[in-house]
Amino acid sequence: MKSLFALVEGYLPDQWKGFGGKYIDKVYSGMTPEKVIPSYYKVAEESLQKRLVPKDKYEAGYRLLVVDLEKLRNYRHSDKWDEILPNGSTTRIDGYRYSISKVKTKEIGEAEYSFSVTLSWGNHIASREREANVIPSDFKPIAKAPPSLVELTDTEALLKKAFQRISSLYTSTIWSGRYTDTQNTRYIKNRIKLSDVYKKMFVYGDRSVLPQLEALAMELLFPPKGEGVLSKEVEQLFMDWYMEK
Amino acid sequence: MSMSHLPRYWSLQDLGRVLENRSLKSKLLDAIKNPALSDEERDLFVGVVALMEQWQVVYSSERKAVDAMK
Repeated sequence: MKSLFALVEGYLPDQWKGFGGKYIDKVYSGMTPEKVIPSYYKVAEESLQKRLVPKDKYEAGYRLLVVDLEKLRNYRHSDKWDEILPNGSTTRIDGYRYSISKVKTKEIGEAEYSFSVTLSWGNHIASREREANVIPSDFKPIAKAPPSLVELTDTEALLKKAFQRISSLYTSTIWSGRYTDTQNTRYIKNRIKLSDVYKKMFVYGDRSVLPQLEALAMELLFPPKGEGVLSKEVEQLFMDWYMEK
Repeated sequence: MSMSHLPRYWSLQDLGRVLENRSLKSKLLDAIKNPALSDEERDLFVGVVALMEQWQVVYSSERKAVDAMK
């Protein structure tokens, strides 16, 4: 069974409090979570940090926190992704004790979720620490996206699948570690925009946004020349990705 | 759909650059025929070709209008 988990980027230890969803982008799946995440969450191991955090940010103290949403959800026995989880999931980093006080998730498309996490820290939360072994072993999570309210034409159905894949492709681009922070920010913004428009069209049936969705997908796949250095790189990434398969 | 739906910084030339990239399109079409391709990958390639074809209609019409003005 795959775990859904998130990589949360932030500066330790002073700037995490209340950072909301600012640095959160994606719920990953299938990245050997048992190795990476022995408990609900942890700070990603050093090698993973170095691979995923841009060098300049890493040297400035930025780190990734890995949050296993599936296990957090198991803990609550909840079927609702938008449930706010309780205070008390804690970890210790460099002598500081951190608590994930809120995890809020939101479906943005089939098999995709956005979420926000609020962290706080201090000795006062020590008494609320939970044990990992309360997770029921037979729990079968994975929330399903709401059924589409839209009858799709053949072309729209094709595009729907493509938009899902484009979104995934861009997420892997963001976390590939090969782009600068500025470029990643652009990717993240565009991908979130794509997800929002996708939901309007394919979940709520607002067909008026389809041209916007098509334009955005084209822009994501093929950024125009003169708009930074992404154009050739993204095209190449797309083809590299194909050639590797 | 029309050119007005493109991002502001996309020009007709930008659109043409992508749509007239025969190498890219032929790679996509080849990829679709590859039996080793997963369903997910095929979805992506078929969708991207469909997307490019949607824009091809807009591009052709805009090009004709531009050429007519010359």
